[in-house]
Amino acid sequence: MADQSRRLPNRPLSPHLSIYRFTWTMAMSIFHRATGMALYFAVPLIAVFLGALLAGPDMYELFAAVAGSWFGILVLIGLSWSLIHHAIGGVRHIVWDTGTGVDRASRYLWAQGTLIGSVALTTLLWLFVLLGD
Amino acid sequence: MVARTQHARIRGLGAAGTGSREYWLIKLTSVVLLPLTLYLIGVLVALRHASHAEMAAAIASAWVALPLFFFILANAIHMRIGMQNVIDDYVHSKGLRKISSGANTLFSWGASGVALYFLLKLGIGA
Repeated sequence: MADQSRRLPNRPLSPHLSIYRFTWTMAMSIFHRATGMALYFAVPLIAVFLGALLAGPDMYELFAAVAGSWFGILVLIGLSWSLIHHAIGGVRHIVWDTGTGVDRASRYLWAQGTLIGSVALTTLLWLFVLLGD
Repeated sequence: MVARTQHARIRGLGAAGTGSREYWLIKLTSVVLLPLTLYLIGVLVALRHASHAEMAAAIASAWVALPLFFFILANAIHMRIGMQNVIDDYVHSKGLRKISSGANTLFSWGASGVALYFLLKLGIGA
């Protein structure tokens, strides 16, 4: 067993992230995971929101004040973008599951469209929310 | 001689020890979650200035309570499998993987269970 390291072949082993060229599909794969993770840890916020609502007007006012503060709005903008991005990514994956849109041009269009679409929709959503008031 | 059947052999394969069932469930829940998400974003935007009484009444109505109920339920399954994929990909030590997989299940159903309990109380009447 001790001699095993000497018997390792002299060639690259287990190539990892650092050796790959950047591609849009790779970036959107990472974004899909990252946004999914952000949303995962945001799920307790649903329980906090419903709990505050259940606890009565005082707790609900406190929740609304935190959510409506600049920090709360910043978190909500981030979460809404994550949700929209993850949702478009999900649609993209289901389209790919059917075997369509997997040629080079289409998959790059879908990958770039996911990012452009999510940023555009999030911007529209918040323009409507913040300017509508 | 190998006493194991082909079926028993194939069932234990893969890093997670499970296979297509998880894949199918995360796809199925994603299809369910998409329209519910769009609808609930609309509800939240519409109710962003609601008072406590208005919000409580809106959440308690079947038009919001039912979509939210199914959203939390489908999401609990979806979030658990999604995080499980990440754990299976990046946590290599078997013991740590077991612990984080258990923590993932507890967190997913814990957070969702608390949310469902509050929602039912609001819907049925606190």
